[in-house]
Amino acid sequence: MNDPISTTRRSVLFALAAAPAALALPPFGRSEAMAAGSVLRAAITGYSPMGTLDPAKASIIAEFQIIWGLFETLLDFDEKMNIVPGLAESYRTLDSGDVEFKLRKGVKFHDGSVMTAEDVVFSLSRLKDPAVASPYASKLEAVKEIVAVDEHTVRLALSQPFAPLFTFLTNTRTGTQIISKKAFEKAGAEAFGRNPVGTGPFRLVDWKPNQSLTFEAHKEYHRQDFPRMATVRVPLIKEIASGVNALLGNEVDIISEAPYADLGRFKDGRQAVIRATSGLNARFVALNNKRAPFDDVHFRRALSMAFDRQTIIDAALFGQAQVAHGPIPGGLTWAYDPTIGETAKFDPDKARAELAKSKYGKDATANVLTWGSETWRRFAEIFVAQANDTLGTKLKLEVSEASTVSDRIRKKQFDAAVWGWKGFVDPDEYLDAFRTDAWRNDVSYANPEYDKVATAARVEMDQKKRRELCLAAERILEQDCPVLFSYHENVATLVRPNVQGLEVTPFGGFGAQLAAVTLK
Amino acid sequence: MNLHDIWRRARRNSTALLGLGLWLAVVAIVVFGPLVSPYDPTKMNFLSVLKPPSLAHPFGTDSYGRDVLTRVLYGAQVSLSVCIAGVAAGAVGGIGFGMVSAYLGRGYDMTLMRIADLLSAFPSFVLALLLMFALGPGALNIMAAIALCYLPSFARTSRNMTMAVKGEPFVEAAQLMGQRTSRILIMEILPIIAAALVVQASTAAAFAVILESGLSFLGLGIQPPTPTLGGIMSDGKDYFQRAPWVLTFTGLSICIALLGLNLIGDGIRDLMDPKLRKVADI
Amino acid sequence: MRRFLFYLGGRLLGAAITLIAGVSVIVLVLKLAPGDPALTALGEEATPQAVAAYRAQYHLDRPIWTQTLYALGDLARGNLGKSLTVARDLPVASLILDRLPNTAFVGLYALALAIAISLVVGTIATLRRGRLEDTVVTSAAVLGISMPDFWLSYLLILALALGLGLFPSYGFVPLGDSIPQAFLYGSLPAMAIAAPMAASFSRFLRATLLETVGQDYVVAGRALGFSEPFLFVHFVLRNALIPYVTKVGMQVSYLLGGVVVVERIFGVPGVGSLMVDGCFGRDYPLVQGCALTFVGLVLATNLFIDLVCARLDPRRAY
Repeated sequence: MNDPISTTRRSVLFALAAAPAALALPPFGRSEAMAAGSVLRAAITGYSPMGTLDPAKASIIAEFQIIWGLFETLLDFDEKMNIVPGLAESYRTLDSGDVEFKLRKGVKFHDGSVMTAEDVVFSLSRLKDPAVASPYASKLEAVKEIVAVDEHTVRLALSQPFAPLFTFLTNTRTGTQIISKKAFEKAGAEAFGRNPVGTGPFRLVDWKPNQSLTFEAHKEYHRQDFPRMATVRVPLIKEIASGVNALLGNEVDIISEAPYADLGRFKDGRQAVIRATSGLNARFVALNNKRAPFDDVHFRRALSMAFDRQTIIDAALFGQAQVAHGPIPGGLTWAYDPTIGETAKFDPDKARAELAKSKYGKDATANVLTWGSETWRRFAEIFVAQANDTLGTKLKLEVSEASTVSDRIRKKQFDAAVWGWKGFVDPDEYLDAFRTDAWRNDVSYANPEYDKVATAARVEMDQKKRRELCLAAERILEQDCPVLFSYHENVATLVRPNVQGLEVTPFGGFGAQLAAVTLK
Repeated sequence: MNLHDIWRRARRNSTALLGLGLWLAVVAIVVFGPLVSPYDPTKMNFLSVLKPPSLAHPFGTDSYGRDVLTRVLYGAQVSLSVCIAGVAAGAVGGIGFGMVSAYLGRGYDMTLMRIADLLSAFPSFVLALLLMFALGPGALNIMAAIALCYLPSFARTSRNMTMAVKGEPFVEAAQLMGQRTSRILIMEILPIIAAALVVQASTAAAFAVILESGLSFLGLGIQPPTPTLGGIMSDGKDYFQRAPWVLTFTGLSICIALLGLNLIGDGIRDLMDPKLRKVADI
Repeated sequence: MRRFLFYLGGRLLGAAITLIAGVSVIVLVLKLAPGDPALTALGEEATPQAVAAYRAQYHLDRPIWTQTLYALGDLARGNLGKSLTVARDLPVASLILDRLPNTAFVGLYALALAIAISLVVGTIATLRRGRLEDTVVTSAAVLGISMPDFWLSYLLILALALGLGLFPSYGFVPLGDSIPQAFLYGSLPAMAIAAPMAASFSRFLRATLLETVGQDYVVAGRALGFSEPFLFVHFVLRNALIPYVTKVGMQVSYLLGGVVVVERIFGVPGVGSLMVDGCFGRDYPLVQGCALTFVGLVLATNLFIDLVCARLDPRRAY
């Protein structure tokens, strides 16, 4: 035992005694760097893995929440969802049906280079390049050719009329954000996704994967006086409840997603202020139209009338939603039909009468798939309880975990499931999922008449006529009930009382909105 | 000293008696409470959502307007049976492994103990978490996860203790009398090592309840509408700022229930033969 | 010394085999379960073509057995692979190395708290055996191990962070950035993890001390006229050390389990929260890497404790 390191009981005893001494409590007080006020701390809450910030490749909402602050698009939405100029200061439709965009002059990228038509052509062409395999290729499917007419003019040649074109050129989940050609070619595709260069109000200075991101103001940003804050830190907070704790403890100024359940506590606005508006999303109970008992339209209709959507909104979302009777949300004002259809109204008698017409009776059973996260689990729980209460059916709740649920829905291995879409800005994106041959048609709905109407709505350029077609399509869905539309969730952000200038919009826009925020 | 001797002495040990009393009270409340409660644990009542504690609802109501106390009682039934069943399965498996391994020795011992080592190298929560992701949420899967988590420690304890006593004269006597191995293990050795295993089981059951609540926190618990203690707490943390009573009272109930279990374990431990206690490593 | 090295080598080899076999089984089971990393990485609205391209890029379209063999081959070469979803394309090893210090800091902080509390509680309980003080601290200890850790975390936040404002309610500062800040931010997570451990250490220490107090050599020491404090430190405490250190070592596995949930609640960027995210996102290489790290830590601690105990106990030889 004559080794160089001689461990004795005495030395261990000393070590044990030293451990508590080392803990002699640390000096209290916050350091300047973390102090509130100098830096805007805007957290993204919820599970949000981020892979890339290349607009043509990104696909997760969280990725876009960042992208919206780093990049801009030719067009933009205002708060009322009207299309307004963005990087294009004007645009016009030529007699040929082609569209010409005049670019804003003197716009600079984060690397200091000037944005030109070449960058626009490059950015948009990438979406159409099969080698890029962008998930947004279909957004420009009607665009035949993208040409730079001169340094500040870009022309899109269309192969056929395509109504959603302008919405797809806004700064939403579209992939049409304008990137710097030079920076992209210099960095290469993969590295650009980690070091994005755009024209947006903020530039990315730090990205700790799965932890946080840091923005700094784009010094040569083309809008005067924006952005207001020099530095923005974006922590990624996984637990929404932890997000509230962080906000109340003054560790963050903004959390992207306010937990509905807790909102009641902040009504007086002293500790935190809720900023909410109707959102662009649709939540529903997806029914597998190929499986019994959901292959029977009467059964689906009976179910649709057997639960009270408002109760779900009150109890699962604490009032933060609007009743849905079709896919198109109220946020899309021009295409929204405020009259609630018959099948979306809670009517136990009619529901039972409809069930009597069905070939399946009370003893019909099916599993309703959901996962353990707050709102979704409550939604499914209340739906199952109410439907069984009204009809006497034996629907069962099947709680799984999110990844399993999305995989099973994609593979059509489910009876029924609570499900939804978020962040779509054009009615076409909502209607598309019910086309017979659409890959997004997870519920295997098939109705040739619907296909006809939905396609007509896609190519109709006149907005009034297009609205009528959208409404007609919705009425078919109301009759067939391929899914049970339930509610459109609000977009709700929770901020500290000293946060000013945050304009919450239906389409989200997290990163872009931060440009106007100041701290009092 | 076997369980019978311990019981004789336990009557004079206040810790064990307190624990036993507490635990019996908890069991009685959990078994009979729901029969007395005027509320249904799953029936939703949207007129009385998130009501603070009152005489009518001592623990308040949850976000579906259900009486939290009633749900805690039903939830305790479910959670405790799932956890105890899981620990029992782990114990039976582990003791079987351990005793056979110790008695047969050599190759068997090596192999079985390697497997136990493998399982015990995982922090139990991490192992349970991975299993729940692989198997999916649900009562049976939680039971399986709990059983697998506690199997190695039961195996190790019973192995070490069997090793310690298998050379004793009474075992040799039984062998000379030509008794079958299985009989020797069950009739001769098991009673000797039982006390240590009871201690271990009571601690394991307590930890299992905590494990279940941790899994529910991550959304991997038992499926609603079945109430479980973890499920109620996990629901309560969603509106903790607005209605802190749901999470707080449910957690307190868990503390009291587990206090009983842990005190029993402590009491028996104090009464055990110190030599055996050392072998058992508890 | 030579025999010691042999012993060490054998232990290490056994540990490595155990470790890799165990983790491979877990990842295999996880892969067989439903859930598709492509849908996490690309979003639920990903086109079938994009999903197919993703699966091809990361070799997820191959049979699971082939994937497992490849992964084992990579492991053998010391390559943990790249993250699939949580931090796409970044090497798992660097992600873990980034976070390991944070987990280690919170874990050691918790361990130190637990040891400190247990030394005080254990000593009080032993010296005042059977009196009120003993009952109080012992009951508190038992209560400590009866608390669910995530419940305790929420109560700590409510009381100490939002109520009294003593500690931050969320967040983390790495030790490298600012030492006082790191301790400030690490306090609540460490307390939440330490509570059940402190309780279990205290109970154990009390039992061991009580046993030692009655030993003949203590009686002999007293007869020789040593003072009581001297007796306690040099005769009792010192001899209770070996079992106590062993116990502390065994609890490291429990500690690492507690880290998982607590890291998530307080936003500590550690290996535990990374693994949970990996599981949710079906990030197989990442889950594998994190599980290996956890198991490796447990095995390393066991080995370390074994060696320390061997040194502490002159009677033991290899």
